[in-house]
Amino acid sequence: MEFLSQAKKFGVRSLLLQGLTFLSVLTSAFMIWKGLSLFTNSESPVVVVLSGSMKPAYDRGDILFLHNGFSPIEVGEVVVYKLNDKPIPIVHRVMKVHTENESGEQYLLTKGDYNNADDRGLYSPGQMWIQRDEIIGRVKGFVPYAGMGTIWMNDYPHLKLVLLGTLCILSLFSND
Amino acid sequence: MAIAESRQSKVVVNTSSAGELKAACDTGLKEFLKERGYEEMHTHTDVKLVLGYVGIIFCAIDFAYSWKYPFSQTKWFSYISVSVYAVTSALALVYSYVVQRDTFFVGYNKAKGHIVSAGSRTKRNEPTYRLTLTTRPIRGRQDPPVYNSKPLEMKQPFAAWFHDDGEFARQKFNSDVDAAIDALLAKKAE
Repeated sequence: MEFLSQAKKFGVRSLLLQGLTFLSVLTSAFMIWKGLSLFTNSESPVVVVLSGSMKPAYDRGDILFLHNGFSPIEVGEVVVYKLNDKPIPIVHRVMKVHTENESGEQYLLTKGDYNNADDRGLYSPGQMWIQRDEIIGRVKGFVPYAGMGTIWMNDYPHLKLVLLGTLCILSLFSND
Repeated sequence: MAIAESRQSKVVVNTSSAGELKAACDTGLKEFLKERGYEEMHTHTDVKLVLGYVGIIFCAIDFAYSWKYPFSQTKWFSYISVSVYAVTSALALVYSYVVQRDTFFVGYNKAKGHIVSAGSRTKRNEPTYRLTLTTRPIRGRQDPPVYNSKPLEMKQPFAAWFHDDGEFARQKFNSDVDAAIDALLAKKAE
């Protein structure tokens, strides 16, 4: 047990300090992500496009930057939404908006630019409209094809191991 | 036990690395002061550890909570944990820059009733060790005379304490530091 011997030699404090240095890296990354998430009011402010249904505007592999905020959605905005029982977010354009007069509740119909039909075929059975709270965010910016690496690593899981292995080997050769 | 071991072991450093030279001198000073009866006070380290781990704990709880439950439900806690994390990180940074600064050792001598604090720095491209020593009485002790707490600064080029091959000349270092400490403690009687 390597760190028990280190603990005896240098004390618990030195272990805690090392732990702190290491954990600070992880926690600051997570906190920055969370902070961005809270600022945009979006559960995932950066997403990768998985299909070509929004061509020619967005193609598979594009990275999208989202901002949700609290304001009502307007027709023509490109939004990312997640249906309650499906894990994969979809990025399409809003075609129709109905707003209830009293509550301000919105009912939205979306369609991918490259698709022939609207999204009612994708919604849950019986669902004709999506709600404002199913929207993860509106697209505010994008980087074309920058997300292809993520897609490859999902399609070919052993690529993750190759990447991890390369990083480990490189870190062995670095000076510090 | 650890002190006796390191006294016998040779310390060899890379003489072109200012970082290694400074680290060897800092460690040498620490060991010297400990041998002279100064017990290390870990206040600076403890403050930073507490601040750091409070932030980390909030982060870990937030991570677990937001993993299990949807975003809209866990948002309120995320606001709290991001704020706590930002505040503790900022406090730790300020503490490090304003309170701790170059200090690497703080030791108290119960018998003599005072605390010695040592800080060191090196300037870029200048192979000189600048040591700053300050002393203050242990809080609550009335017997030591009131202190002139101006710091004592000593600077010497690293070459004074290291052989060509990088071996640390502990004897020379200890005698130079000894003289500095005596001068520091003598000052206090003014």
